[in-house]
Amino acid sequence: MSQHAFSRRNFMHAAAATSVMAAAAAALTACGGGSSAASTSSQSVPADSNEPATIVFMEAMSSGAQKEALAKMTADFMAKYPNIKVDLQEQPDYGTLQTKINAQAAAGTPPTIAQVYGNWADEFAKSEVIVPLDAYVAKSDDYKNFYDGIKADLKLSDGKTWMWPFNKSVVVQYYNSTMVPEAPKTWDDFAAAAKKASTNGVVALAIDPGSSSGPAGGTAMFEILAQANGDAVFADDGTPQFTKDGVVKALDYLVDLKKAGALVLGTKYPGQVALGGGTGAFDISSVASYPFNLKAVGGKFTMGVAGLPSGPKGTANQLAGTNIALFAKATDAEKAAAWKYMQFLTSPEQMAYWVSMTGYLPVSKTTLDVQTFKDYAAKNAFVLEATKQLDNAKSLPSKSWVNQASGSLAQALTDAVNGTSSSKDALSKAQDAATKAMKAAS
Amino acid sequence: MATQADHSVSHGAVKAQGGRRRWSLSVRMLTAIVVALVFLIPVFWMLLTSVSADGDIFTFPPKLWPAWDWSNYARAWNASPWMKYFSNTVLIAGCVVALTLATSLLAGFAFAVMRFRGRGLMFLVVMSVMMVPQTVLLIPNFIIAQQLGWYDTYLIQIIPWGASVFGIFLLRQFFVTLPRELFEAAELDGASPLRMLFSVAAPLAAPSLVLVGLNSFMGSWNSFVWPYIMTKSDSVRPIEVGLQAFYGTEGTDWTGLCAAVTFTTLPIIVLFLFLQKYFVTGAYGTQGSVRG
Repeated sequence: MSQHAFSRRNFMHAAAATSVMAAAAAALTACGGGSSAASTSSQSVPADSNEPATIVFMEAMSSGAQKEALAKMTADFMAKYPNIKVDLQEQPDYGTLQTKINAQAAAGTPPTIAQVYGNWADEFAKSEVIVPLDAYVAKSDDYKNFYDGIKADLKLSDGKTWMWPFNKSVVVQYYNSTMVPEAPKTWDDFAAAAKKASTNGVVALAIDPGSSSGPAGGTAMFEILAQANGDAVFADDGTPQFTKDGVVKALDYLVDLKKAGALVLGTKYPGQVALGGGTGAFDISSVASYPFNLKAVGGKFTMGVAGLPSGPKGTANQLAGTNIALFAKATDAEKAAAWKYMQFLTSPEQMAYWVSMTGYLPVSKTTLDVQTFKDYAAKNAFVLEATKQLDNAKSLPSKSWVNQASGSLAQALTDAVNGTSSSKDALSKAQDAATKAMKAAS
Repeated sequence: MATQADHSVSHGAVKAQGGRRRWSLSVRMLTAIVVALVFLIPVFWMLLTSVSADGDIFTFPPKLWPAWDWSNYARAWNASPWMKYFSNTVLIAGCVVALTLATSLLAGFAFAVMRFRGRGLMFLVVMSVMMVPQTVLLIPNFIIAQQLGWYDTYLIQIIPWGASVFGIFLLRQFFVTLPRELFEAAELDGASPLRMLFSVAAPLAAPSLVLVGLNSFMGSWNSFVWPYIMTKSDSVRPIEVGLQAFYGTEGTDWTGLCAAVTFTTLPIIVLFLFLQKYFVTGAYGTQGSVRG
């Protein structure tokens, strides 16, 4: 799952989320002042007590194995801590989740904890709606075992840790091993293999760029390509740098694939659909797509899974997925209970179960020693390769304008690949739009 | 000779006319079949997918003889409390339709027939509501719902949708086409405005009311974002919310979704089949009812 994943879903959720952002920001700012409790309690971890507490976890693990796994882990937690009740409030997708958190926070009734992306957390932190977790992580035994990329992902630009990891993933390549016997090692090899496979009605790769209001997985792939060329689309402080050589080359690469008949743009998991239908050779998507892709293929051929190819500047990847934030309005008893629950979810045993059920990656190195994980990795060797990338993979900067700026990139990708604009012109236009969004947000 | 010639000319003309009619009928039939196919193919595809094996749904060309995997229906049925969702949806949609009809009838009649100061301006204000995107109002509406204590209740799913700008507009447009003499005669007979509305205007507006009712019913039945944001409990949520159980963040359980859509769409299809005559009349036949 990527930060873009929500926009791949049906409907106008993304548009809705975008439309309410302004109202939400204003409302959050207005309600932020009510966190005097936040500023005091954030400095220390509430004392553990046996006081009964109910915590609300607002999440988007609303279907299939993700829903089943989270429900079981939560039931196990409540069995272990009978005085704590966890109310799972699932939302159908990340767009709705964001809207609902914004609405509830603005109304003064936020959940106790929720899945959040970094750019949402950035807004919440500014409004003092969530609490920093530095004091909490200082007391955590599991934290030190987290991968470096994961630890970095929990921080915002102020250097504080504001989140706790949950469902993390990186992007991998799925391929039809009948059409492509071996996974390409470099992006040049990938292009050659894709062009070769694109015969007899096969278009090797299908991607969904998303839209200007909601970038999708295709845009994430483009961002990764640019990074593999040595130029990240955003600087560390979130400044868009879409006109850099590496970014232009990445877009030219995709345009070239399109011209060769090896790339098609689509919507709603087009890579998964094409791979499953035998009309595509590759799907470049999240490692957490594995169960869905396996189902789509349905045993018609052997589906290969491998890490992403490398570019001139090495292998690049994007850390995707959400973390958990703790809301300031919670009472001390609720915070203590929520903290117990958050740690429980990332404990090696629970994380191993979560990984084996959902395809997400383990956030801590100690998870690799758990037998459940070993059994899973024995059958799915790619997970070890993907896990290694957790030390280096970076998520997009946690800035409120980043999603909108990525939307401009999605538009540029669409325009260039469809031939309505050159790569340079499309990216120049996207740069202007993204800079405007950044200035407006700042 | 002349008679024979006339007869043969007339026979030829009749024959030609018959040929044109047959040709015209064939073209119309063909068009109707094509249009019907355009609408039926997605339904057929949905039914096909609902009984397909997972690996078959993306194959191209599609398999027209599916695997008949009925377990998709069992899985879909067990995914959500459908009966509760169904009864909630019927209750919510029923109340919304009743309220919408009442408010549309009253407001439409007032704007079309009654004379009062500021009528035109008020009508414009009502119409302007159509221009405000609902998504922008979502958070303020949520805060209001919380403050009223309506969050996670039936009320929040019914009351705000109990008036329809479209309904008011449609009824108003219908009532302005009625001859004023109708109401003047009723007035002479001593009828109050309400009596005029219910005894004279409303019966004539039956087709339009059916159109407004159906539109309102379908809107309520298909409502998704509002109930999702405004509720949290299965005990008050409608059917559309249940369908989300098949969407994942990384993919969709298409076979389960299509099975669920099949059994949740059936009621609305049956309703439409029963009421389609009124639906069509309401949409295209308002002039006829005026003449009557």
